[in-house]
Amino acid sequence: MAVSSIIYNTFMRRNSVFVGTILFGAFAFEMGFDSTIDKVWDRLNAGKQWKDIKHSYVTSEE
Amino acid sequence: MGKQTSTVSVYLEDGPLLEAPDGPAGTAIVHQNSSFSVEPSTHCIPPPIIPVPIGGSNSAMVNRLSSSPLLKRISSTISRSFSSSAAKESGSEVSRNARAAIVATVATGGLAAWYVHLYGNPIKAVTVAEHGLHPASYPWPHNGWLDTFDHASLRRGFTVYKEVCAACHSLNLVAWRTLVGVTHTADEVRALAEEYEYDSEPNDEGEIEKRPGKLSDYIPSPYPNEQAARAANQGALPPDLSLIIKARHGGCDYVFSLLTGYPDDPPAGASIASGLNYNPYFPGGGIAMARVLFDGLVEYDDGTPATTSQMAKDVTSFLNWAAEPEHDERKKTGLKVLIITGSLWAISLWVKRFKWAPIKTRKILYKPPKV
Repeated sequence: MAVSSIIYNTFMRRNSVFVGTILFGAFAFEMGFDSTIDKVWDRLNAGKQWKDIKHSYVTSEE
Repeated sequence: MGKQTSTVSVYLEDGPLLEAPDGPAGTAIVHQNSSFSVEPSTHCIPPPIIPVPIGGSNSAMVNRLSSSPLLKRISSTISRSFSSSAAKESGSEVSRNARAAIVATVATGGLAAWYVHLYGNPIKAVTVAEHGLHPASYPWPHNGWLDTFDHASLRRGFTVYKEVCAACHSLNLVAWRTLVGVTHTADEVRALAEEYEYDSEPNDEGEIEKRPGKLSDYIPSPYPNEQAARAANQGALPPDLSLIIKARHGGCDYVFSLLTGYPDDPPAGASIASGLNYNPYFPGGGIAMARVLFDGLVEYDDGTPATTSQMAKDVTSFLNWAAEPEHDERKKTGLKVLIITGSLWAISLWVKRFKWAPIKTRKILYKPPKV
């Protein structure tokens, strides 16, 4: 009860704060979600991507 | 009871909730089969539905009986006999429907079988061999839903393209810059591009001079136009390879099978026109391109032995990347879409159950009207 009333009073009491929370939350969620998916992708494809083989060519070229 | 025109009210604790419209009394029974839970008539609660006859002696009788203690028993008897007669009627209805369903199913199946018999096995104008051999399915490193290309293989594949395929095949839709960060470093690609000459912008005299290639240039074509390409290849046009993996049935499997599928000698009975080579995977079997990949044809800078199948696999992977440079983003986006829409779906299910809970769990009670 206390938690829900805190949430209500903090984020939902004023419409401006509520809308701002939604907007900011969307951005924050997108960033977190995308980076999580990227981490999963990198783990599943470890050793296959360019970033995994890049080192052998960068050092030999420069 | 026969057909009666009556109005049946169902009461929820404190007032009328549902009113069945006038019609055959059989419709009122529907409530018993619906999801509303109805208390059996054991305590003080009367049976769920009492058909109220209107007019005639039945009406008078029920009116008289309504105040008597017999009402409960009689009404339940009425209701029972009523529902049993309805069940009998609906039973014959069901069997009639079942007969109709059986007849319709048999007729449909017969029609379908007849159609398949007539048209299901058409005479083919070309033989299977003329369609080209169906390629085997190979376990490509990028086959899975969440698998990217083997980028070391892409790099080797570019070497094969550049040293073998590029003699005849263009790669019109691939710019040098797109190789950066995929197969080569920026400096390597710059050096590669500078090996080729491109037309510059007109100078002050309006003359077009040659300049070395830049990252923004596209990989040059071996021939200036289609006519030149045909003239150099006995009339056969080497197709552009930018989208070849998407443009051929079987994709990677087909291209790999084609590149590695040249037999030493065509099988007995295969007639190949002059200037063509036999390849069972190519529709018709006669392909203008001869076998080009032989063991040790190129030298890989990562030391991988350049066998025929290794080169075919690498160049096929590279061409798949060229056809689908958006490959990784596509698969990642697909995963995101599935996760988000799956979550929204689960939430919508929960909201539906939440909203419907009071409706699904309510009890409907009958309160007889006071007389």
